[in-house]
Amino acid sequence: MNPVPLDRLLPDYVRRFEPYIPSKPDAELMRLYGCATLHRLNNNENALGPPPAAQDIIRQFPPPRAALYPSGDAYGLRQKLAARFGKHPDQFLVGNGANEVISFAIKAFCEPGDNIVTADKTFAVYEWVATFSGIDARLIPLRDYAFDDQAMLAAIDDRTKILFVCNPNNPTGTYWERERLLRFLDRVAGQRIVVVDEAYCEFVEAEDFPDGMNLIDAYPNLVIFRTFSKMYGLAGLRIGYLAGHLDVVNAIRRTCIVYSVNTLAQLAAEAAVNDDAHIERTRHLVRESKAFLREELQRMGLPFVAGEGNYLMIQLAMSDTLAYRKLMAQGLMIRAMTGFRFPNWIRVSLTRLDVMEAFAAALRTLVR
Amino acid sequence: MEPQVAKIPATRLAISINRCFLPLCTGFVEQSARAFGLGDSEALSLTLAAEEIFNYLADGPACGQNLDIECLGNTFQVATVFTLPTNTLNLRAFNFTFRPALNEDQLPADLGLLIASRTVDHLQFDLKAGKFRLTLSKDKAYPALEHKPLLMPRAEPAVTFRRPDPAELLLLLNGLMGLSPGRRLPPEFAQPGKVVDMAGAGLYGALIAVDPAGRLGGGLLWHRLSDQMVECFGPYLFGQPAATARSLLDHLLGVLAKTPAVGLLNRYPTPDLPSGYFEVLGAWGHHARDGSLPEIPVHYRSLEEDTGAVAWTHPALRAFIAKEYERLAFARDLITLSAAGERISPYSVLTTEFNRPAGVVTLRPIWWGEDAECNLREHVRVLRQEGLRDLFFEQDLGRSWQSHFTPALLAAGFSPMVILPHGGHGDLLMFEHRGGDLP
Repeated sequence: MNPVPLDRLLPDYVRRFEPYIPSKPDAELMRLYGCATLHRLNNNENALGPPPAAQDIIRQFPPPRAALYPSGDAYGLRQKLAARFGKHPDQFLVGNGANEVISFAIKAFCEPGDNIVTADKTFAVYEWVATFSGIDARLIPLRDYAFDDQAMLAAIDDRTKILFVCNPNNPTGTYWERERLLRFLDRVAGQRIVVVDEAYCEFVEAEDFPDGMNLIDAYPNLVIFRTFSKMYGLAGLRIGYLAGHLDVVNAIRRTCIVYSVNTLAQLAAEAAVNDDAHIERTRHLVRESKAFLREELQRMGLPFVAGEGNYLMIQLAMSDTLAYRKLMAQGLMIRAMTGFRFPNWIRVSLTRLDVMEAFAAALRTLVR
Repeated sequence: MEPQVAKIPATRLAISINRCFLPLCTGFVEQSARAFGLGDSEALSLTLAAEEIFNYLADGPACGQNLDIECLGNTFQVATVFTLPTNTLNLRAFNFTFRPALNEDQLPADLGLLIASRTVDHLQFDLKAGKFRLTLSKDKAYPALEHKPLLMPRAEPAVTFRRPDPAELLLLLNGLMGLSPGRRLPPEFAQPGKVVDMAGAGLYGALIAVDPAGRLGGGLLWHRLSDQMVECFGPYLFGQPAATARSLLDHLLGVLAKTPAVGLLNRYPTPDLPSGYFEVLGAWGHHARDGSLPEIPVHYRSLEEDTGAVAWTHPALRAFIAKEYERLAFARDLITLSAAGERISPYSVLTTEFNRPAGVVTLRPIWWGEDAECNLREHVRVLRQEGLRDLFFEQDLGRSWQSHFTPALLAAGFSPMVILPHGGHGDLLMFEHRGGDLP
């Protein structure tokens, strides 16, 4: 049999792209590393799980319903989102996780030769989708662990279509306060799409943190990304959404894949979206864990960056990938940050206090 | 972004392996070599090596086969690649030490492949996708570096880390000679012009640290050993604080993030190598010309979260390999090789990679057979006679059959030294030969 001529068939920008290999299932990792338990502190999941009403939906989901197609455009969820945020349902597009809506936006606005502007040390998917779509990703170094607004503006040229800002930033937890975001939007002057990814916004307690949803009317070029994977504990069902001005959302709708979000995800998200008590419980847990871990890290003399969000970053005096292996052997899975361009840093999800205690104990074995 | 490898100009010839085509082969190689810029002497050396190879093929194992000859013109080197299908070949003939049956009394010095290896800088065999490839390469002539220290202007602490232009790279390479004498540097660095050309072709990457006035404070170089493995050299500092070394490495790691590279190797560690960036995989000995055998630590860093792998081992090395994996904290499914009386080929086949300027030879197995120990011993004997000091054998722990070589390797004087994670299909176990009649 002749080999498939992949060199000829694949575009150069796809051939050069390195596929992301997700971690193996827990059972396989536990067997491999010889640990009896495994705490995942690598994906910033919510230890409390989904809100109670969403859990009821999941428990009671009638199996025969799995044979039916879902709502192709998450009709019911968009009604709920519209009511919660005071917008028209058509101002929302729902995707199979926020990753999918990133893809919708880039495909809608960019073609090979165009570029996007974002940070070098942020959520990697903006860069990935752009790169394997033949779009140049202009990566601006962080300044003081935060997005550098001036440098991003300076990087704009005629082919710049989208500026991605992760607010608060994953993995540093830094954020642009309202005034800074408004200045940035004013400078862009509506000439480019500005995406503000608010995947972790529900965790933020700072008073001056801007709610992007409230800025859409004033800035029609602003697109907000949100997810049900973090605060709402539905990461396993894959559901996220974007919101924006009706004209912009209608433009993005052209590249939106319908029927990509399953029924259970839609129903669980509908049940979750208005549960503010769940948000408060989660914030309490994160607050408590963050305070505990900060104290422990200070005792160990380890530098850390603890901003907003349910995670923090720790600098080690050793390779983060070695720390990953050593912590895995103790049943704790963290995120090694070399791939985020933060060598010798790890990112740790803030979760239940007993797990944080186990993590601190394991970390002590590495630094002593 | 990593440097992009430039497209290499090439010429190609397709012929049958028959002595009557020898002039065609040599004419093609010589004309190509000259067209790609090799000097008279180097073009002649490459042509002589090609002649030896062609005669060797025509006299024995591949007579009548189709042969593709390709000449690749890098800015710093010309390579000639012989490619032929393996389906009708006796691969045994590609053992470096093979003698055709009619010439059993032939002296090792007369072996065609050996003669070819003497006139080129690099000779390498590999077997891929049912094709056998033999690559001869001859470097262009570059003036050697003058061994007098270059006085570098004293730089303030570096504030900028960026790619050098060719003149800056040359300055960095010249400056390295002014660092502490006797420092171990890659042999290529003795010809800075070649490194600059290799960097221009995308085969070397480099970063420099400069102070606010633009004075050079240090630098770092790297190149790819394979898709998955990158080797770095440095960091080299000229009176800079330790933070400069960390920044250089941080920049390199940023360049390598989100690339196919999974490991970063440093076999030429410097006193400025910051702690906490690398793990020491182990050490191997370097047979120096003065007869000493300094131990060279092998530094390594995983660039990704390790997702585990399968590693095969012969029972004789199970304890060693398991201990090394535990020491290095690599999770592996270690499977012990077993035998159940199955038929074994009488002959083994090894490929040989020569790096003449460095005095290094690396053997790699491509076929397991009963004569492995004799074959290995013969390779060692010939290579030692040939004046080559550092002999290595790479065993891919991801390929079960390669572990069959273990008893033969141990009996022939090889010792397991270092496991290089993800260095091949799986992890590579590097053996080194010590002892014997060293040149």
